Amino acid sequence: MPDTVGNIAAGQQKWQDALLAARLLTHFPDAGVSARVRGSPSPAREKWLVYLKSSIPNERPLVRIPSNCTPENLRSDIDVVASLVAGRITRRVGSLERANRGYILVSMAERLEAASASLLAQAAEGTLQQDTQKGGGAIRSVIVAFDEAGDEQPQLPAVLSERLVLDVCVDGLDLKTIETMDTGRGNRTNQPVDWQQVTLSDKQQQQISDLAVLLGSGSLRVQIGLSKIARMVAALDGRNDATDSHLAHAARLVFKDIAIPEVAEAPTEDAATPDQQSDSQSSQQEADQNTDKFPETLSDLEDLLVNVQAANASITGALNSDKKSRALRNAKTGKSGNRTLKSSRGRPVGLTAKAPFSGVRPNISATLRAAIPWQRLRNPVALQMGWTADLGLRISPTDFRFVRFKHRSETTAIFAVDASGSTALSRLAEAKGAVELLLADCYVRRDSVALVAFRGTSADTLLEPTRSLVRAKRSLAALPGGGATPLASGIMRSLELAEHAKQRGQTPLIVYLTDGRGNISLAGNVDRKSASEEAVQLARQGAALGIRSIFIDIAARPKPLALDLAKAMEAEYCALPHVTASAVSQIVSRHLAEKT
Amino acid sequence: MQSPFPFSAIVGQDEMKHALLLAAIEPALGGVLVFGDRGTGKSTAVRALANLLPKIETRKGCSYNCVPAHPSSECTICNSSPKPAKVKVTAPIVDLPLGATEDSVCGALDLEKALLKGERSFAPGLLAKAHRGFLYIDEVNLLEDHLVDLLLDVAASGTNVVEREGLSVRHPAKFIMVGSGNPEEGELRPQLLDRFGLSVDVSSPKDVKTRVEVVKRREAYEASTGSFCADWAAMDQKLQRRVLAARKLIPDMETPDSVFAFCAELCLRLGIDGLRGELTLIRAARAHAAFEKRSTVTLKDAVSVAPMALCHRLRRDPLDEAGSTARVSRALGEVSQMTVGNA
Repeated sequence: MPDTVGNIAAGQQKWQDALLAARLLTHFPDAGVSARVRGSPSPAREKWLVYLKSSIPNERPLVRIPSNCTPENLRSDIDVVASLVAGRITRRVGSLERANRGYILVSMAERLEAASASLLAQAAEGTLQQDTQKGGGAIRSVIVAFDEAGDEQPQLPAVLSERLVLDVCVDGLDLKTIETMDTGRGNRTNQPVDWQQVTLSDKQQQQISDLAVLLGSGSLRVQIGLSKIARMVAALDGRNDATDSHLAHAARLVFKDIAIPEVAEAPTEDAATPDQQSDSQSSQQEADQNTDKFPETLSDLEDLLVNVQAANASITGALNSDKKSRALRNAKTGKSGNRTLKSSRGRPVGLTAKAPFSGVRPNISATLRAAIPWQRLRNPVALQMGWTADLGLRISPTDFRFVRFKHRSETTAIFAVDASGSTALSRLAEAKGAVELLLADCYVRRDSVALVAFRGTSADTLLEPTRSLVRAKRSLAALPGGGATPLASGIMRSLELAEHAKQRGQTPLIVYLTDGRGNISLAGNVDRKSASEEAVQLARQGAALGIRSIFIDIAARPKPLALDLAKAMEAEYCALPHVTASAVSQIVSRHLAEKT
Repeated sequence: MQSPFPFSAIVGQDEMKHALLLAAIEPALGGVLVFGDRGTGKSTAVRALANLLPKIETRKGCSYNCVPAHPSSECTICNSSPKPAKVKVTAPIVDLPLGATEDSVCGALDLEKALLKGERSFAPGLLAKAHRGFLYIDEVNLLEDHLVDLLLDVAASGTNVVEREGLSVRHPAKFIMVGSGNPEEGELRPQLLDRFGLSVDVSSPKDVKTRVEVVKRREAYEASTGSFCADWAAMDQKLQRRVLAARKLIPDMETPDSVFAFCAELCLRLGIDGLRGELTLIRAARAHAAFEKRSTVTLKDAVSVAPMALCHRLRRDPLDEAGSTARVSRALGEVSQMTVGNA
């Protein structure tokens, strides 16, 4: 049963790699290497964490922070409440300062706010300055971010994930693997050396560069990290020069998507001798397998590179798409989330005794006003003699008043309607109906609606974003149909409208009613190929801009082309061969309601 | 504090380095916007630049970085008597974190003093800290719009005006603003783009030799920061002297009419709204000429800085992503041909 053997071996490999990463983290805490640990909570993750904790040197602090920690929790600051209670300045030590030169564990790191993530990123790089009052000096910690995000969920903020060099996966490991595998602590014989002393050959450096270009999307940070990890792996092995096997290990620790089936070779950091043996073994095997198309053992980096290059198209494609959607999600959380009364900007609407968002400063005048009625009770002298200015005010934390802000959240639904072809007339009629239905509905919520129709050679904005039902009805009355399908122009026009809406502080939602088969390019020529290419390109751009969209496929027989386009714009896809105004309006209404 | 990576030791990225140097020579340019991939040495370059520039003189404990001869009226340290000793400090480089609030940026009522002593005093914010130095905003495209507006306003006027919570404070805040970001994660509004003086696109080098060299230098720096910086100190000093000499040349720089005409024609041809583009182009050309140790601006100077001064001001074409540089160079070709023809 070669398959099961392979699976177990792959699991063992993963676990060994995870343990190796933990050893690197604990052995070289000052090397500026941080890690991302993928996987949902599981026995394997627990065991990994126990292993990590047990190997952390005692003098190094270990701070665990939740994902909802705010920048204020992370940074040291004056604790206003405690200061008032104590009657003198009390400083609150932030998590980052507590964990300086130590370890920070972040659970559910994918839910970190961008601001906290960028602080953590600075701490990982050692560029975060301590408060000047404490004499400065940079804060540097090892960040271990537990990433529980699946593929479809929001990802770790890119600012942090970029700086987490080690990428460990402890997902999908069975109990047997982690129980039976030795953690490898007992049998390590050779002493780790200083990783700074480890040298890499020119060829190895080139290989590292190639790997970073192929798999790390060319980032120099990845390349520097990979080179560092390779030297650290060698140093842990007690060697002053890194072998190719060390490099392969490092590559596996840095890139998550290369699964190297390293079946025959035992984990190499145990001792130098088996390492050399396996090296010679693998080179022998290599010689044997020169004619073999699919070598089973790929311990050598050369093979790894070839393998990677072969799989380049698919892997880098996947990686890139992952990047894109991550960008989209970031854009979303950064731009349009959280537009409620807890907003930190917008129109001030009254006062509250409860801080509307963390880190808000109390409003001084309102706080003083709230404190004044209590002065006689709080100050015994004032109680007897009456309050005078020289007594000062006694303010307790319950007096704090905060300004609440209201940020008006509006949505603009932009309909992009395919007005071409034979079914144009009925389809347009239904689209018009949907717009009117929505407007009637939206009036209550103060959302606005726009309509873009594309036919012939260009796209026209038939209805600028409006809230006026009357105006909509008038401008929709005469809407021509028929002709070719300039899909790309339609998407472009809709994106422009959406951008405008965004600039006004509204949240755009584009509703495409089309079959996704464009045949007119942006230049207005009949060119099916470039037309569809342009459409996909624009769709991606929309996704990168973080614009939400719904793709309603109105073809009688839905084709995969439309689904691809919907994917490119990261839209919700619904096939609706028989368009009716009420169905469309229901779909869109549901989306608008989700938003608010 | 660990000394930052030396500016001269940064491999490649010549355009970005050049733009930063021009901004350091002529602060009136209005800062630099660096757009590009992550991990291309943007923040390294900014930190290095701050270290490259001459130290500024101020008084000990001053939180406004006052010039000792002309202290800000708000500064309690510099206006006290006896005045504290003068000290020389590195030009400040202030990081603006993403989660910054208006309070922390502009400064606000000093909470502890207000609540504990009943005093109304102003606690200076990041803008005061950045006076006479650099304000570095990583991911400027993700920053809240109202904060970016505020920053650009202060950067342009050189004064921070705070009018709230019963405070009325103005203090000088002259700094060179450097913004960076990745356009894939969100764009800047065109109005904001226009306010940045220069804009450069950076990408990671694709050539193996360069990449390996980057890693080698980085590792050498991390292994022994002191000796690495010492090795490059001579180069850095040379560059510093050049920047200082260029600064001296700027006020007496001669700008021939032909250069003005060229810049105007170029901006017209590219359809750039407003005059800011033209102004920046001329200022950048002057800074470039000064950097080249000349006292007269030539057409060549204008041509070489035109892409970074104008690219981000073109009207955006959603399909045309990398094309703005091409458009500028095409217009450059046309206009310079025309000028040569006329002359």
